[in-house]
This record gives sequence, C-alpha cells and structure tokens, in this order.
Amino acid sequence: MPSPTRTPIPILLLSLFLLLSFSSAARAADWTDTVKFSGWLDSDIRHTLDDTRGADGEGYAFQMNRNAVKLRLDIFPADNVRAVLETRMIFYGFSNAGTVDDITHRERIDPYHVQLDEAYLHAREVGWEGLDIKVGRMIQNWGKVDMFNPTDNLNGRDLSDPLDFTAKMPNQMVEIDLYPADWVSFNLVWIPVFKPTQLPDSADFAFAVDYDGNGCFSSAPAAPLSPSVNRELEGVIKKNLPAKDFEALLANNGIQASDEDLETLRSVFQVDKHYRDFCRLNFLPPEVRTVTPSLTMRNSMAAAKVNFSVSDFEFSLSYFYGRHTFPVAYDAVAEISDDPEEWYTFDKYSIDKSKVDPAKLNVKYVAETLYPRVHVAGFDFSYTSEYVADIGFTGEMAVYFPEKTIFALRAYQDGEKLLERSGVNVPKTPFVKGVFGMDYTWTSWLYTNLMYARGMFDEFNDRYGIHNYIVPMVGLTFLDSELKIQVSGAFTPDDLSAFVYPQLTWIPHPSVELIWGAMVNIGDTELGDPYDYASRSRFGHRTAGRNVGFMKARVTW
Amino acid sequence: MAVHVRTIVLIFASLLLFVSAAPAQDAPKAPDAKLDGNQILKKMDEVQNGYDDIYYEGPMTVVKENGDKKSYGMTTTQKGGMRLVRFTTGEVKGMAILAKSRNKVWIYMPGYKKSRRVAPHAMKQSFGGSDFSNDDISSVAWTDIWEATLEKEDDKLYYLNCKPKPGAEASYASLKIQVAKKSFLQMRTDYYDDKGRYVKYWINSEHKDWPGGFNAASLLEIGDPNTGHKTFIKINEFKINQGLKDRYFSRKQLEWGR
Amino acid sequence: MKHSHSRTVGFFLLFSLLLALAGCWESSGLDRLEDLYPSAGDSDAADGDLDAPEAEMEFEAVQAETLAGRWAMLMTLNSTINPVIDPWPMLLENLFLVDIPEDQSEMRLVACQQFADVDGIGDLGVIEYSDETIQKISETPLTIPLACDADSPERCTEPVMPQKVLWHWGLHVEDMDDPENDRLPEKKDDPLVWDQDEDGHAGVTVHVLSPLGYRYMVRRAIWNLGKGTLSEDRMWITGSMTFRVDQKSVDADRTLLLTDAPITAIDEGNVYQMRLLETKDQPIDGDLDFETDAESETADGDLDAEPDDVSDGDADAEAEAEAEPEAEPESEAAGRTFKEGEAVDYKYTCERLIREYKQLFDNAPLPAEEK
Repeated sequence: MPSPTRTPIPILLLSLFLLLSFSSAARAADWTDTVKFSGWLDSDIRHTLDDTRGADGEGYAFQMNRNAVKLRLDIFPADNVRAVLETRMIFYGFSNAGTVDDITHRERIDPYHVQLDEAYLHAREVGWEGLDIKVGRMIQNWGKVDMFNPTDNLNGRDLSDPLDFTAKMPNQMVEIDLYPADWVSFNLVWIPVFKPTQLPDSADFAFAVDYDGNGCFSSAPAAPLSPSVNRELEGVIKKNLPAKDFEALLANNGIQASDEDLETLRSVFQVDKHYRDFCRLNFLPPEVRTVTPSLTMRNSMAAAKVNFSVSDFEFSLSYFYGRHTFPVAYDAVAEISDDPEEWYTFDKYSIDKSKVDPAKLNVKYVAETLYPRVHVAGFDFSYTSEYVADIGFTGEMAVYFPEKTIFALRAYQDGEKLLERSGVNVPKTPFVKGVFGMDYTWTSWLYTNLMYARGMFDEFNDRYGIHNYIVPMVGLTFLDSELKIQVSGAFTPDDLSAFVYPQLTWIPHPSVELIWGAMVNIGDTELGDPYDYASRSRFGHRTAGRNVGFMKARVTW
Repeated sequence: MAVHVRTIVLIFASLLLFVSAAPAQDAPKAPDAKLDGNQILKKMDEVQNGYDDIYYEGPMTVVKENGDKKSYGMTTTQKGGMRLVRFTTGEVKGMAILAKSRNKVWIYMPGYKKSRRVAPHAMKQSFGGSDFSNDDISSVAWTDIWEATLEKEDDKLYYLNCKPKPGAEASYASLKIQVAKKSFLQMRTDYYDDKGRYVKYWINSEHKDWPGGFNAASLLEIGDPNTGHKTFIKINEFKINQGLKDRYFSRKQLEWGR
Repeated sequence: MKHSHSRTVGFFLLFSLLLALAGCWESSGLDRLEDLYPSAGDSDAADGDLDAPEAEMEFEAVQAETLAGRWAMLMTLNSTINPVIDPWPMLLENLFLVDIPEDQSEMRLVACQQFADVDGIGDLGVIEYSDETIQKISETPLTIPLACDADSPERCTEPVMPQKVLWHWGLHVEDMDDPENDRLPEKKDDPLVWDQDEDGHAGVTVHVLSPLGYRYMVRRAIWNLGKGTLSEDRMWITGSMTFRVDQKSVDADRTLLLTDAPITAIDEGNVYQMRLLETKDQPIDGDLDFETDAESETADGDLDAEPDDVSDGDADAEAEAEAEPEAEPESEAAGRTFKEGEAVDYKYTCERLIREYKQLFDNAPLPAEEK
C-alpha cells in the first residue's frame, strides 16, 4: 500500500469551494457556460495471487482497499481563457493504527491523502491568434504511440499504482504553443524544477537483503559492477565472519575425525580464518538515498517539439534537455562493525540501534542514486490510411545522450578502508529507445494492437541495459458494448519474462463501470547470478510487484 | 487504449449529418415545374447543408430489443464537412471527436489527456450499442453517392428511390427517402441490402421552429426493423450561423474542452 | 511559411549546440565518495593494491579499419574444483595479449596470467602461477586462425570461426599420439613430461596457497570456441565457448599436494572477450598509464623484457635461425617472433593488463547468446 502522505492544504475542499464560488457568481449568467465539473469515484479492491514476490511470510492478503475521488473543474472566465483544477482524494482503507493512541486519531485509522493532479492557466490567442500560453501544474503527453513514449520525458512517472503504469507526476511548467499554420505547430516547454518519478512499493526489493530458511543472511543486492567485484565485496565481508562449527560440517559429510585429525584438518582448512558462519552476520536494512538536483536555473529542464501534419502522415521532431526521472545507482558504502556502537562512516547518519545485534557482525550498507542529465532527440509518427489495409501505424524513436555515470563502492571496517571499486554504470555513448506499433479493428467487436518497444520508461542503459519488449493487446466488445474483455501484456525475449493483464468490464449503466481483472507476472523470481546486477528478470523478479486480482467499480460524472 | 475509446469515433461524428434544418420563414416553395428525383435530392442536400454552421445538443438514447434504455449526452458542432462532437455524460464524458473529413478523424481522451488520429479501421466499431455505423457518416452529400428517381409523391412528400452512382462506394444496395415537399427536409430513409432485405430505417420527426428562425426535426430515430433495436437523438438546443471560423475545427479546439 | 522555416532552423541550431555539450557530462561516484568520506587520514588500505587499479581511467576508443593490432583477451570460465570434500565453484580468468598481423590471418596469443577464484573455504585449493612460469608458458606458440580476408576487412564481422584449440602445459605434445585424448602422464620421469618453465621441476610449477606448497603438474586445456563477433565500433570481439581441463600432479614438494584436484567445467556462461588496445598507427596513449615512468620501466623489466629471453630460450627458433641464415630477419613483439615488416612496437604490456583488466572489461559486451 502506498504510504499516504497527508497534505496540510485540503485541496479537495478548496476545489469544492472554488466550484461553489464560481457557480454562485456565475449563476445569473448560467454558470454551466463558464464552469465544467467532472470527475469520478473509484473503488478498488485487490488481493494477491502469489506468495513469491513479496516479503517473506507476507502470504496471501488484500493488497489494496482503496477509494478515490477525482474532481475536475474546467473554468472559462473568458472566451480564450481556461483554468484547470484537478484534484484527487484517496482513502486507502487499511488502518495505520498500531497503538491505543493511534486509534484515537481518525487519520491513522483511516489514512488518506490528497493530490493536485493539475492546476494551470491556459490562455489562447495571446497577442496573436496562433499563440497559446499555459502556466502551472501540468502533465505533458508527448508521442504518438499508446502508453510507451520514449520521446516523452517531461514528467516523471507515477508508479504508485502498478496497474496504472502510464500515470505521471504533475510538475510546474510554462508552455508556449505556436500554431502558424494548419500543418505545423510548435510546443516549447520550460520546467523550472526537476521532479522525480514516484516508484512502486516493490522498488524496495531492488535493495533487499535475503535470508535463508534459518533466518541467516543469504545474499545482498548486487552493485552495478562486474560480478567478480561483487564477489570480492562479499569476500571482504565474509572474511570477517566467525567460523562455523567445523566438526558438525565434517559429520554432515560423513567424516568422523579424531581430535588430532580434527586439529590437523582445522589447520589445513584454516577454519578459524575462512570458514564463515553467515548466521552470525547481521546485515542492517540497506538505506538508499537520492541525490536530488539543486534548485538552480542550471537544473531546470526544457523541451521543444515541432509537429507536422501532411496528408495521412503526422510526425513530430522533438528535443528534451533534463534529467532521467528514475534514480540511477551512483555510489555505495558498506561498513562492517564488530562494535555496534562504533561506526566510522555513518556517524553523520542515524543508525537504527534497534536493528543492531551486538552478538553478530553488523554490516550497514548505504547507497546513493542520482538522476543523470540527458539530451533526447525524438521523432514520432502516425500513419493511417485506407490505402494500407486501414491499418494504423505509429512509431517513436528517441536518441538519448546521457550523462556518464560512474558507480563507486567502498567498504570500511572500523574506519579502515578495505576496498574501493568503481566502474561505468551509464556510459556516455548515446543509446536509442523506440516503439513501433500497429493496430487493427477486425470486426465491430474485435480490436487488436501490437507493439515492439525497445526500452521501458525506467531503462537508461545502465548496467541493467536496454531491453526489448513485445506488447500485444486484444479487445473484445459484446452485448451492445456493455461487456468488454481486454487482454494486454508484455513479453521480453531478453529474459523470457512477461506480464499478462486481463480485464473484464461490464457497463450496466452509462457512467458505471465494473471491472474484474488480474495482473500476473511470469518469469524467474530468482536472480540468474546473484552477483550480476543485470541478471534480474524484468517481470519475474519481485521488484515487478505482486500478482494481484482486482475488482474495481467506477462511476463517472 | 481501450476499445470503447475508439469506438466512439465516427458514430458520433456522423450524427450531425442526420440533422437537417430549413429556414422556417423562407422554406423553399414546391416549384410548379415538376422536379425529377436527382433534383429533389440535390435540393435536400442544399437545405441540409445550407447553413454556415450548426450546433445542437441533446442525448442519444439506445433502446435494446428488450426495451432497456441507456443515454449519453453530447453536443455537436458542424461547419461544411467538419464536425466536432463532445460527450457530456456517461463513462465517456469529456471525450471529444473531431472529423475534418471521412478519413481525417481525431479523438481526444480525457484519461490520456491527449488527442490522436483514428485509423480508418476503427470506424468499423460501434459505440454504446447504437445503430449508427461508419458508413452513415460518409455521406456528407447524398448526391455524391446516390442517384434518385422519383417513385411517387403525395401532398406532403416526395418518395425517392436511390441507387448508388456507378463507381461510388456504398454500403447499401438501395435507399428509399421521403422528402418533405414544403421544406425539402429529409423525413425518413429506409435501407436495403444487396439481397433486397430491409435492414435499417431512419426517421426525422417532431419538427419545430427553433430560435433563430428555422425549422428542423427535434427527434431522430434510427433502428433495425427486424430486431426492434433502435437509437434516438432528442435535440434540446439547436443553433445555426454562429459565425464559427474554420480554425474552430482543429486539434487545438478538440483539446480545449469547450 | 518563411517565418516557420526560420523557427525550425533556429530550433535545430539550438538543439545541435546542446547536443554538443553532452560530451562534457559526467557524474563520478568516486568523487562523491571522496567528498562524503575523505581518504585523507585513511589507513594504508586506501593506497593498497585494491585501490590503484580502480582509479578512474578512460580508455579511449581506437579507430581501426582492420583487426590488425594488439588486443587484450579475457576468457571467463566457470568450473568447479574438488580439492578435498566437496566441489567448489571456481571462476577461471585467462588473460592474454593478442596480436593480429596486418593480413588478419590469425591471432597470436601471449599468456599473461591465469586467475582462479575458488568460492570455498579460505584459500584451500587456491593456486597461483609465478610470472616466470607464465612467461615460459607463453613462449610456446598459441595461434588461432581467423576467418578474415585481408582485402576486404569491412566484411570481417565474425572473425573467429567456431573451432577447437588445445593448450598444453608441461607436455611434449609432439610426442603424443592424440594430444586431445591421450592419458596424461602421472609420473615426473615420464618422457612426455617437459620442464616447460625450466625451473628444474617436472612439468610446470604451481604455487598452492592452502595447503601451502608447490605442485608440479601437467595440464591440457581444450577450448571449443564459438563464433566470435566483432562489435559495430570494431573495438570488441566476443564469443561463447566451452572447455575442458585435464591435469595431473607429477610431483610436489609435499605429499598432500600430489592429490589431484579435478576441475570440472560448467558449460554455461563461458565467454571470451577481446578488446582492441592499440594499432600500429594508434599506439596506446602513455599518459593513461597511472604509474610513474620508473614504475613502468620496472614493470617492463619483468614481462616485457621477455622477447630477448624468449628468443634466447627458444631452442627451435634459434636452431631454425642458424640453419636458415637467409631467412627473413625476425623481430619480437609480445614474446612472439614476427616476420619483418609485421613487427610492431606495441606499448601495452602483460603487467599493465593484469593491473587494468577488471576496468578494461568492466563494460565489455557479452556475446548475444550470453546476454
């Protein structure tokens, strides 16, 4: 469940107030001409369908019990002026109350948060009939293809809901649009302050430490360095662990040794030095920080696009300067401490003492991520013509010129630097992301769409690389469009993983949608090589999120 | 993109084509000289497309075979062959469609907050179970596709029998159109397939004088005579000649939301 | 229209300018760590061997139309070794310098080192080879033919054809009936055994870290190289492979080490990766070397001085030179004799490769089947 952040400003109430204000003021002149009110109420219940991709012992449980209300106002105070206000209030339906004190507070029993999705001014024909200006909190949607738009990098993603993976984070921006002719238009956007993507809860698993059935340390997340360096790091930690019960091990291998033999073997095997007991290792929860760009003009972002429409062919050329909105691994420090009170590296940060076990070797791991700068040159097109079997073609290609990012790793013990390794995580070499898709309606009830995509939103040619995806979709419509079945998904041949996203929608009345469906991930849940940063299966690994079944009800007004 | 998003397209883009209006005061008189079928059809075209622009608003109601009904609110604006349709109620509220010609159609989806071009294949889809089809929108001018012969006439109506012109693409083998003698408004059309089967009807009724001084139907009905499935459009507001410029019918306006 | 065209041109000029700036970008985690945890006052470990090789270095791309030049090769081989109780995973890394002559007919491998990383108990079973041993091993020619046509280098996109390569240590191969399958000798006085490293002990000498001592052994490695593909930038050749290693201890300085530790190959994840270092026209920039000149010279003294030793020590070559005084004069490079005209004074040394190979191959592409 996403952590609800409680907004001090009750935006929802504000919007309602505005609505009422406008409606009162404008009633005499028929307020419906100046204010358009819309929104929806959405109730969403989800249950997990697997017990393999969550935290150990999490089991099968309700994953979501959410009610959300969206309210949108489009206010037209003058002919060519529009103010847009879109808010959402979300109640999570899971209590956060863990103490008696908590249950005296409504907001802990019934957590919620309010978000402002859009709030901007849009003025048309400003000084010239072909000039529009937008200022405020907006979401931009660039690109011709559905869902996956490598040319669209202006907003971060809002992945708080894994099923709504195309949602975006709004951001404040200034947009100037020019319409010099029917066949060409320009968009210029300036974004003063960078805002990152909101990651799903499952992102934490990218940095999770694994334990075996006995609760003993099993593996730590690999750093974006070569597998041999990751092995080396583990070796450094392993070397400091206390020795295992060697006699028991020999017995397990069917070797009965006399005391004398045992001593000899101990010596030969250098047991005290090397034969380590991972149960004596206490890997504190890894901490991952983000290095956020400073609030300087230099860190503002800008984009430009020119759109052409020539007969049945529409295309755009675009350029973006800004930052990748997903965090990229930057550096990491591991500190090994025999003495839980003594930390050299992390003095400046707080160590959760409750997690420190004085009887074990404690290891604290802190990583940092950053948002690399990037130039993106983009091209997108759509072509629809009855002369090509009525098929619609769309495509996008973006060349990314990334900031080179070098990942570095250090390990310390009691203030002594044991190891330092580094390697290029994001090379400066330009890379390409692209999408090509086609869709076709076979009959009045059967629609299909097929896309090939190179590179997902989050991929940035770091050590994880750029992957290839096949994205099919089939839509069926029955019973006077009251019953719809849609099966979509994605498959990556790179690691043979996939997700399937079937949905059944029933529209018993106009405005009312009842939806049943599931999101099922398929692929290796285990890492191919625990020392290889790139060996994670795209949809199989638990960072992809749990398999869930859901039921939604939505009414739109 | 969800199927239903595409479906909407041309169906609603077409609606305006069904709306016909004639000046209330200046309705053309039936000429003394006898008109032939093609002349009557041409007059009908002139009347129905004889305004600078048209706007109307009203719900579309689909009536299923068992009598169940469902309605969607919408507004339509038209100028020449261009039209802009907005949906004002239902799960598709906020959606808008711009048709600049039969093959140049864009759809704005509020959920995606962007508009996109619609491929011709999407026109095969229907929306909300209505009785409109893609081909219903393609006939901007009836005389482009049909040749008419005057089958008969009475005091109020001309009865035209229409066949496709040689080389013209039409989805029906023949039509029978009833045209009001007084106003040259299209009153009823019956559709027949290539096997001579009666497959569809369309009726304009409840004509009235609208503010602005013209007369037009306020109720459109289209249906399947064999199943009883039908669709009504009840027009609540009708305006003409508001001085809309061509650039009103643009993607920019499509996304404007009003 | 003119108006909109000028806007378009302006847009792309701005765009080009910004793209040009992209090359200046870099965020270094090393710098960041140094800011957060300054090394000043750190213990000696900060200056230790572990740190030096990872100093940030940029290996500039070499532009080459042909494959001719000096390459670094890393073979990464997965296996298990069974020294006592259980087999333990072992990662073998074979490092070679590879010279490809102008005619691109073959590649000549010079062994630089073999690293064995055993994931077991401490150093048990872990072995090392002395520089001298490796140097002597490298003197025996190891040549792999290439599938390239010197006249159309642009077509040579898959230079390494699938093939089997045998690499013997401490064995008189010429006396073996079937070098691939003959049973390896088990005693030091077997006539097949050759004191290849000329240290007075049979076979080649292996330093075993635990139990500490020296094992004198013979060895046969069989590589089944898969197709090697040249990258688009012509900087890398990569391919998959399988392998087999047979070895026998023919002698040891302590009885315990006479016991063989069989190596069993794992068929997955074995790759060879080659990286172009320098060409005749583009010698590697000496400034990239982070050592002082004095250190480099010292380093050269170990391995790079080997050509003289090689020539002197190669009895066959010497005899051949004496028997055929009219033969083309030869010069040396990387421990191998080249015909005159081919010899190139490459700068990159084995010593440097050993120091830098982790960084050099850090972002090495993998063969398509291994990705």
